[in-house]
Amino acid sequence: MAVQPLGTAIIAIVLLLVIPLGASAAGWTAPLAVIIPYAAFTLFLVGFVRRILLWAKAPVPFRITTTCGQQASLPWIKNDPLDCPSDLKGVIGRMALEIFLFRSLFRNTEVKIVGGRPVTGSAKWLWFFGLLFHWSLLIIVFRHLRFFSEPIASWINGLAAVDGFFEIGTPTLYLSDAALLAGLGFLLLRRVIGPRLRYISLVTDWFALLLILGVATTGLLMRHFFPADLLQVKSMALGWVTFAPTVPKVVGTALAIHLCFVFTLLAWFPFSKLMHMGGVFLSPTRNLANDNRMNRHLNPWNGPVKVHTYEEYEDEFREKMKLAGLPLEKE
Amino acid sequence: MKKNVHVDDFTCPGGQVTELDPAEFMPLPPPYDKFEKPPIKKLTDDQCKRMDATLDGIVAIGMAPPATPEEEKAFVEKFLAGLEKLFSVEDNWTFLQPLLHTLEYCVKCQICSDACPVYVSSGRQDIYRPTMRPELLRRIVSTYIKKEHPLLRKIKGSDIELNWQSLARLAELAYRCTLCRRCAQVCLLGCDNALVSREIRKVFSQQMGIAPKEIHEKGSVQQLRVGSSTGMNPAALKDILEFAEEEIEEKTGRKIKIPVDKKGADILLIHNAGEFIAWPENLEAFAIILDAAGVDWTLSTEIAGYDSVNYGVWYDDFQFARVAIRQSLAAKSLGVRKISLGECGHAHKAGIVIADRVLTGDLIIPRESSLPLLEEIVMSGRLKLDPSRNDFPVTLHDPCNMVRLMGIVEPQRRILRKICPQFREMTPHGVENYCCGGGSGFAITQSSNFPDWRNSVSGRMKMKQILDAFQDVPEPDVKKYVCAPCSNCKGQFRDMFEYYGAWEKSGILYGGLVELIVNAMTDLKQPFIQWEWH
Repeated sequence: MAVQPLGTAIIAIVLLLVIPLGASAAGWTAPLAVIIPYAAFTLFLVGFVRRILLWAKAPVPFRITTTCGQQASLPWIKNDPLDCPSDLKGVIGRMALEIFLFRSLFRNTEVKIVGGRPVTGSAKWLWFFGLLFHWSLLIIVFRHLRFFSEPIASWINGLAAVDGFFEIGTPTLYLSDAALLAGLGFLLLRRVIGPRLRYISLVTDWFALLLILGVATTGLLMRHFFPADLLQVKSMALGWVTFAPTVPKVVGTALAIHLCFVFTLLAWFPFSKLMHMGGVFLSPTRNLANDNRMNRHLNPWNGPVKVHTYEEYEDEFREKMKLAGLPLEKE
Repeated sequence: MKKNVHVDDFTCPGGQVTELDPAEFMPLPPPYDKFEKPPIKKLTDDQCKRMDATLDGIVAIGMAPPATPEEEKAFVEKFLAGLEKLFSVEDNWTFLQPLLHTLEYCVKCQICSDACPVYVSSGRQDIYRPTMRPELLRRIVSTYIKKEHPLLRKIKGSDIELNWQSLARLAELAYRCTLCRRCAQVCLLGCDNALVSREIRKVFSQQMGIAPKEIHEKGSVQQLRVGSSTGMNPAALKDILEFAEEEIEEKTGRKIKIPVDKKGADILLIHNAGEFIAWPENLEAFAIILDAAGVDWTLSTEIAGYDSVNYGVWYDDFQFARVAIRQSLAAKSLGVRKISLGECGHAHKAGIVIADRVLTGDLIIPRESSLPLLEEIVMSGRLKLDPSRNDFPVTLHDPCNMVRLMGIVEPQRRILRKICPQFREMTPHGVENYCCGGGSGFAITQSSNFPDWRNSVSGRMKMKQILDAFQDVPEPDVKKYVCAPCSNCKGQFRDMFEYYGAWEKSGILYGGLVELIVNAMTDLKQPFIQWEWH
């Protein structure tokens, strides 16, 4: 193949790195602080909503859920309300397990050939690191709300306090940061190490991982090695949300790169596979009650159809049909 | 070392995308590990000219190459017109949302691959990955439907050049997936890659009239014309039922009148018509049980009213709707209270899960699986059953549509636990079962070397599971029973057991669930299951 996907993704990331590097060296930071944030966020919002609406507008007439347990049936047969929900309550439970605990991924198995015999084993690593990655990303996003609100809500401070509970180093290392890196590292290494998985990985697969890794790395660098002027960062962020953007006097290189990565992520998000964030809620194989045998699912669009039955047809044309010698059901 | 498969391999004319190497196939337990028969027949040069086998050397459809470049161009355009429809709400309201989801937010974690029996059994051929078809489709959409900028496509690597060859391979590839949906079950996001296979088939069938002839011409078309997909017309059905009544009397000494077209009966029982032709003991057993339990039931002799199959669920929405309506019409004309579906997996999906949406007004007659009815009869004690009559090793094969799609898991097990003292489960089983290998029409697809592929690749995992389930009693003189409450699965087992010589080597026989119930009935003089059937 002419284009190596991983190479392409790395080039894209390097480009994204060079642009803010040059911009901040040239002192040309106004676009990064004023125009691009709004453009990226608008793209994110509009793109996200549009995609969700497109999906939501597509009809889902059939309840073709993938069941993972006994359906509600005769009263003496024990059913599995979470793995094969038959009502809204069960669906909410199932979706909650999917979204908060990645239940389906927990089912993941792999087949190995051991001593000439195939053996199916459980494979929980991806589940573990995937969960670690997603939860820590969520916590980090929540923690960032401290930049966008004044006074800082107590729950954000509380979250940060818990996150930095062990007070390792100064400034305190957040556990979620370490967990995010561990999760990302696993997801990335998984694709790098396995030759089969490596060669079928696409540019977008690599790009998504590398981009988020870039965001995380620059964030960590800023926190632990190249401290940014937090007051300036905060006034810039508050400026965005109050629609009174200000251009900070000095923007550190790390911050410029961090922001550039974040805005790219925001703008690209709606067009990428990362849309699974919104889509997972809509997945008809999971979010429907499996009540095909309990309820009849009539088409809402079955309007009253004016029909002319064969009996009526024969009544109408009986004499003529008789004359023409056509067979009649009723004489 | 396996060759990496690239999308370019699909578009270049000639050659083969993948060469299947039997040495790479997943090993089977002894004595099947030393299987001497050439696993897959090679096509002759003449056959290769007539039928396209450039995907993996296997032919399911057998498309003939176009004669002229104009024909080829028209072919590609026709496909793209169909694809356009596939993504419009007006033309494809049936499965659009899950299709969009799978294409647009699959994160390509590839964990579904290990859930796929075809992929694993074939020695991990990349073309059989559940994600392969969606990826090809995604690229076609990027290039021809969304018409993304060539540079963007180049960067993303989503470029594909469509020609006859690539489409012929795509069509064949859509028939390398049994639609068992194990991949959808493990997917963390609920993406349904099996559905993508089905939707690709749909474009080829609905837009271009391309489908394996066993499924279309000799399948659903024949069913609508003659009455059943087997070609059996109502007159032949009546003969077969008379024969079945005689056979019941011979075997059991009971004189049973199989009710036919009984107006106002409680239940219309619809069998897969395959039972009438290949496994009459199944419908006989149903008749014996329902008669003994005093159920008010009937069979129908109307077109499609005696054949529960609805091949449309595998490849074509229109054929699906036509057949579903005919079946409901048959029930309506008899005025039955409900339809009960016999031992047939996909008929459960077609009739119970999907059909509601194509039926209108008084055609909406409740449809239910026969398994809970059987469970109720067996557990209620209405029949006198003696488990010791079934004192041989029995394992249960779960039809995918019943377990993974519908969640009918327990009724059949409760029956077996009660009447089969040596019942053992396969690993895995229930909702996590493996497909028999004959799903989505494969069991009836007999074209060229396709049966070889089905027996040695798609059914391989099931074969292994069955052998493992009986590994404590491998001797051929210990007769073993694989209970498969699905006509299609039985068809696959018939072929596969013969292919591997499972009867001679291991004494393995297959059959339905009702046969075991009748076999346990205490008031029969001789056992109902006759082991010479194989």
